Amino acid sequence: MPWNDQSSGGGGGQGPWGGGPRRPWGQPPRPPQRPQGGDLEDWIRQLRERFNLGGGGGGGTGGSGGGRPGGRRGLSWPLIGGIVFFGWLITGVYAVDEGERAVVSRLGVYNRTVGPGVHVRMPNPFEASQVINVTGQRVEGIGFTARGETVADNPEESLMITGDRNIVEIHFRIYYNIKDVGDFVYNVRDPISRDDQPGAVRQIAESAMREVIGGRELEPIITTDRGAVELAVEQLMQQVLDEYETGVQVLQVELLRAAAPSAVIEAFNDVVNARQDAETAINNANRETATILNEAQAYRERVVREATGEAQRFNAVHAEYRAAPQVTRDRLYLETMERVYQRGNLIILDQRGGAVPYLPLDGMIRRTPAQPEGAR
Amino acid sequence: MPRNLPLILGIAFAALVVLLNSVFVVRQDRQAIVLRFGAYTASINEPGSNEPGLYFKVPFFDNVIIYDKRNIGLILEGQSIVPSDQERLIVDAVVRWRITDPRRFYQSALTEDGGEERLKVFTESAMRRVLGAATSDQIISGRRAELMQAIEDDLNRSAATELGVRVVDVRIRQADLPVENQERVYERMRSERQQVAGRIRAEGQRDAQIILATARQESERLRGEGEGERARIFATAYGRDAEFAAFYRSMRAYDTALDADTPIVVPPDSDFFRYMQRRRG
Repeated sequence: MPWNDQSSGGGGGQGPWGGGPRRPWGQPPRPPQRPQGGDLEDWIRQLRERFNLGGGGGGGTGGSGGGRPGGRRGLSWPLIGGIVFFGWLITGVYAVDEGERAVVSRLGVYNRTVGPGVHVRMPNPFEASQVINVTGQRVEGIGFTARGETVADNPEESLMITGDRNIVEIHFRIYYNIKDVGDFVYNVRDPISRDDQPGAVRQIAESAMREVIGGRELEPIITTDRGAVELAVEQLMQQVLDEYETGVQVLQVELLRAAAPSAVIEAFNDVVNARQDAETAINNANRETATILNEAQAYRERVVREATGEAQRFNAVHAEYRAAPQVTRDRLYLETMERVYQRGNLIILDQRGGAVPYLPLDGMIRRTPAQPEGAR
Repeated sequence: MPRNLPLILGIAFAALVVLLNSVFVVRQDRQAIVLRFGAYTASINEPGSNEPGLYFKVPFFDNVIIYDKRNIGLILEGQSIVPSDQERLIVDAVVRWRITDPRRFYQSALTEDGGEERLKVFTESAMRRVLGAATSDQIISGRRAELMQAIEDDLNRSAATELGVRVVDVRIRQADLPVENQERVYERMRSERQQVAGRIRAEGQRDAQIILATARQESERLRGEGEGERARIFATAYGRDAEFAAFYRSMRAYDTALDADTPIVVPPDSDFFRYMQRRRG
């Protein structure tokens, strides 16, 4: 589509930006006959013509408006007055959503509390209404600032001193809603935080948490007592909030993080590691114990059984020996020697000769390395 | 009529100004004092009374000053407190207060901001008095609630009558060691943890060694048991004929002790060769 193609379609021509009614500077002179309706400018122009206000310079004066500039003034003022009056009355109409309550005051005096629906009150200076969400859960996060997924620690708020003079890092959230809207509106100037000014709920939450943490020791806070801390803070908060008659109900205190500060977290983790190390050492010892004990038992059983077997063998031989002592004895001797001499390297040497013969012991022993590690 | 119009409008405008100047609203949560030429004439909707609403005054002569009737929070930035044990602490607090005597409040403080300023000074000195007499342990943990109550009472004695306010509550938010001491605390915490870790590791080693030693003890006992049993068995068996047992056992020992290729030098007159000699001789 060419840039200056304005010819397409009467009034419906699309500019180069593909946009709808906004036609940029390439716009051709406005056609003499005004497009009907829609255009705000035209509507105002028509209004001006009808009431004959503001001179209507340049605008087409054809038709009814005509040449009676002052004549219509009497008639138009009451109309404007009526519209203004109506608009004023309209300020007395307000809607209250489900879960909300409205507090209505008449000339500053509390008048009534109304529930959900569309309501009418006296217009503005006489009655005022304040619509407040009461059932909706409100949240206050303390000790951290959350931007999307990332949570940034806020040490000024998160670091607290414990009863045993340690420092602990606490992140927590308070969930609350409003149980008495009248109290909420009228009794405390700053119940909820605005901008950077912490409100009463936040102040009380921080103070209560610090008081509770200050009364406990670090170790239980970060391990077993988290639930107890939450409960204690909730009770303490509620007590103070009721004392101030804030009309606020604490729903839940949620301890998100209760840990050693990052400056010392390594030392704390090392304690966990140490516990694991100790367990590991004990497990290893237990494993070795099993090996040692089983080996010992095996040894005992083996030794006893071998001895029993040998004794039985001896007993059997001995029984035979008793039957024929000399024969058995000689036989045993000879048989043993036979085996021994067979294996061994027998040298028969008659020592009665007097002279010591030369024995090449080296040569005889040197044969042994051929059989590595002996012949055991 | 068109001629009178500006006049009428002027009168109407003046009437409106006068009317607006002679009417004022005291809201439910506000209180007011009326001053005529600067002199106090009345208080409206003071705490204890419930009289909010529309009021009239003499225009231009009467001046109305409106104060808050609600519970107001005053945050005290951290200030350094030296408790009785000389361990410096940074303490900050929130004072919840309300104006109870607007006339007195006007006289001594004029505005709410001015009142806050003065109350701040009062609170600071009350905190010094009360916390300076306590120990740091009591501030941090032991008697925090009592001390907060003591500050509140102190303030209600001193500031309340002076300023025309009542302190509803004093809450210590933080009572911490100064930042300069923090690193020391961390160092101590670290060393404490290291101590615990070291102890746990040593205990683990100790237990492991005890377990192993017990195992070895048991092992020795079992082995001894086996060996004793063995000795008993042999003693029983060999005891029947000690001489033969020695012979028999020797034979077995020769058999097992001498292995292949052991050089054995034997004289020809040994027992083994008895018959060899006999034939030769």
